[in-house]
Amino acid sequence: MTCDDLRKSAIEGEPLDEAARGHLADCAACGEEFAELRALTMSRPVAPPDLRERVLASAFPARTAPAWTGFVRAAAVLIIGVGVGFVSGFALNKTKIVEVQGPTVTIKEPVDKPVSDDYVSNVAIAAERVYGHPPEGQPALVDVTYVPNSVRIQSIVVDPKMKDIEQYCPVARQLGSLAQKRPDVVVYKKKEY
Amino acid sequence: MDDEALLERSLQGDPAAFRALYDRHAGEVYGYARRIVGDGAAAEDVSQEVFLTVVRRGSTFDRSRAFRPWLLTLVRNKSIDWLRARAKRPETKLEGEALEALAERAVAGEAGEQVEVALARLPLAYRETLWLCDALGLTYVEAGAILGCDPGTIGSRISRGRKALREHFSRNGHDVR
Repeated sequence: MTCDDLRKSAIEGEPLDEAARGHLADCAACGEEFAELRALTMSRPVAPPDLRERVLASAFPARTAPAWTGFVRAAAVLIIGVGVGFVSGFALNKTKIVEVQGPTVTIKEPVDKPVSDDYVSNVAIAAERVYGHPPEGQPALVDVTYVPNSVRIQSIVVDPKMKDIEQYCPVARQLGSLAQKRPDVVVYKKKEY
Repeated sequence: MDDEALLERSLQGDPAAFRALYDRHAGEVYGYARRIVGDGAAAEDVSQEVFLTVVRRGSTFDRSRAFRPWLLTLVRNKSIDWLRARAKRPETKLEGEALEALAERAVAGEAGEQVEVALARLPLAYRETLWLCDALGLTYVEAGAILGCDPGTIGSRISRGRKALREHFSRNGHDVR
């Protein structure tokens, strides 16, 4: 047995076997060190059992339905199918089909705003339709602002909560994708409620 | 599964992986925190904060490094924060009295309590260095990385800390062999 072996077994709190006792008898350095090592290992505090439950409950709290799940459900009604889509054009006051790249987003309602025929507008319309008009008393997670007297989108301000639902919702995912391509238009900003 | 893989899965929202990570390290997280803050309830608070930081900020962990030293560094940082916060509170003055009470209990107590007292009387730098190297088995280099000092300093702290412990045991007729 070497000094390192003895040290390791002392730290691990193993009982002394013959080899360890023999080494201790022959090695003055280990003899001095061993008592202190043994004492330290004997005094290792044990984490209280209830700490485990508290930590686990804090780290992974029981899931409660947050306010935005209502929006997700609403989105689910509006989102039909998943597939490779394309940017479609549409004009004012007609029944619109808004499709965005990636998972297809279909909105079967008239668009009541003048919007341009571009990708940013399509995403903005879809996002505003789903997340921009919450029930009374709940905050909008997406605010779309148009350039005055224009059909162009000036900004899409998105609550960071939308990031949490990207894996479920194509609209949220499209906003994330658009934010990377057009950071001048899409801004993630926590709103003051 | 190694620590790094468990962390990865915890960050992906897997409670079972996080539970396994907790079970593997709770003892040394709590023990190290307790050696620094010197109080069981505070060590529980620190431990809880440490594990929450792991699951919430684990993405900042450098995957090219080992998980355990990172975790112990978190324990140290959180514990020092706790000590600093306590220093601002009036009950800090009771620390000496609490130590004396612990010493009184230890007179008739078990070896573990004797060690508690001996460790509590050591300066923090010696106490945590001894704990990292002699109770948790870290190398001088690993401990130095956590404590922010070179292995030579760790060596001298270990040497002085052990001497102080031996003297304490000798004075109290305590034999742990």
